[in-house]
Amino acid sequence: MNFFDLILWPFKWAVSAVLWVFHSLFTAVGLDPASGWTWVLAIVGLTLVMRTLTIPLFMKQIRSMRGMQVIQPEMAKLQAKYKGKTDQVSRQAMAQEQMALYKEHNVNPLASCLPILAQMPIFFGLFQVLNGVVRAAENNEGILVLSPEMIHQFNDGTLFGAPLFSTLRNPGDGNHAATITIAVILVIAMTVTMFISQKQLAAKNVSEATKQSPMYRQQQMIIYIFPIIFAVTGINFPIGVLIYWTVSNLWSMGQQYWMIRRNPTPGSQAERELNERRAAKGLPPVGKSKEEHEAEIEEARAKAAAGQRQQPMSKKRQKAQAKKDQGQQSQEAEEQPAEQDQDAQDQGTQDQDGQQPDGQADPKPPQQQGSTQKKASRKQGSSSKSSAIKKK
Amino acid sequence: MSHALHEDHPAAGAEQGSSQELFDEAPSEFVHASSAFQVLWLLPQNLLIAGLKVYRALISPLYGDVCKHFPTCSAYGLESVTRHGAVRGLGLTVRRLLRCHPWAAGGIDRVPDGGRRFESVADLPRILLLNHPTPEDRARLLSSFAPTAIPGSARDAHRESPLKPRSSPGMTDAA
Repeated sequence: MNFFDLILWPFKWAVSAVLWVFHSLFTAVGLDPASGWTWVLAIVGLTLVMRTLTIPLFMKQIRSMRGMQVIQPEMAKLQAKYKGKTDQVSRQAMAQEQMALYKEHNVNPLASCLPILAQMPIFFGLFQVLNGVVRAAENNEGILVLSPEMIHQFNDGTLFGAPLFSTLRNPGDGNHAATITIAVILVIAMTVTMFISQKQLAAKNVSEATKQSPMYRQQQMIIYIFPIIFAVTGINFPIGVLIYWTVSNLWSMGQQYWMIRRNPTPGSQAERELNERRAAKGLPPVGKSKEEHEAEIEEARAKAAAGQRQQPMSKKRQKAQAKKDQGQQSQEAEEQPAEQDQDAQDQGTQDQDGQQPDGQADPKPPQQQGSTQKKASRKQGSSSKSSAIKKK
Repeated sequence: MSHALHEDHPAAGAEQGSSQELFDEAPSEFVHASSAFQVLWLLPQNLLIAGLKVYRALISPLYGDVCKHFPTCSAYGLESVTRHGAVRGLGLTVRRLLRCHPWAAGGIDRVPDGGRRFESVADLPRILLLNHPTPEDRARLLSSFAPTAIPGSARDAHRESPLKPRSSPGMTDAA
């Protein structure tokens, strides 16, 4: 027994124990212990158990993600400072400052390395157990908790005539057509689910700042390379292993879909979409109370009214914007006088403080301007509207 | 690619150009052997360096940003093996991984001083540039190699990170 086997032994034991529990459970319920389907269900059960174990970590990460809202303004300043500096060393300098910022506010949205690395021996343990079934059956041995009799059943189990441990390259003595059909379907399912779950994260749940980093570009490339590697090595995977992978990828997809919809990364496209959905329901953006949000809008309006320079807009766009706003304007027509008074008052106080220089009073952090241009221009539209009202 | 980036941001100034050029011209992490015995002696260290570089190129990007520390665990591992050799480097890396668990606070956590010496900024391998990204960090790193450096003083300089002054009270008000 070499060093790696020694490390893997407890994981293999746990994997075989979970398989044993599920198989006994399904047999007790009345399923045929020798049927391939019972064993497939046991594999699915094993996958679900393993993924369920990681849920607390996942939830912890989401909770710490919320803490990020607090430091958003400072993060925005940091991102502005490093805007356009795309070389690796500058990116690292930014990462370093970011880490100091997290530490200072005692928030850290990152997951940590240990659990991710710990998943590797678990997977290798599973792989060794499943891959060892064929040989153990030949030698009439058991695998840890699984008895020789169970190993024989496991090895002889079939799905539509395809043995559970046949591979595309080595279809065994079962129904070859069934093996090839099932294996091809599973390899495709495994590859596609993996690609979707990676792509989904990278496309939507990444902040604009991260998208600038060289690391992100590398990651984009890997997203395409890995499914190819999977598809190629898949021809050597037994059907049982393919089932594990596919179920596990499906789980990740669902988990990520939930995370992206409900708890997106601050500054990402997914967050903007969530805020748009919330706005449609009349809710304030994530992480802000209704009062805070209203106060912010009010402040932005006051600043715009105080003569802050507007972002230049082409005539064409102005017209389009005016058309878009017309519907709202007629609705808001009644509120006009009150708003005007408010604006005038605000301007008065601003004048006392002395005019702020251009650009400094920008209510939005500068780095977000590129990313949230749509939203920004909408806001701009509403503020130019209010200044237009004043001119009247 | 670097040149294209350069042209995209002419306003970014000399600093970007210099750190990019520094990185492009930096030596690799591998330790060069001068005799057949040394080749064997350094083999574990160079193999670990190669393995970590492959991991960082292929596997790390799959997970995205995960690590709670700066430098990340894989960058810490590569630096510690590069500087302190296979045995101590591996030990440091394992200890770091054990520190990087979900309940850890994270933060800046550098490889301890000592080990291989580097004379100038131009001698620093890429991973050292990445893990010491600002000119202040590099100066501190180089001063730790100087024979006159008192170990305690270098550590104090490290504690008083150059980042501190930036977290001015004005910024905390904004939060």
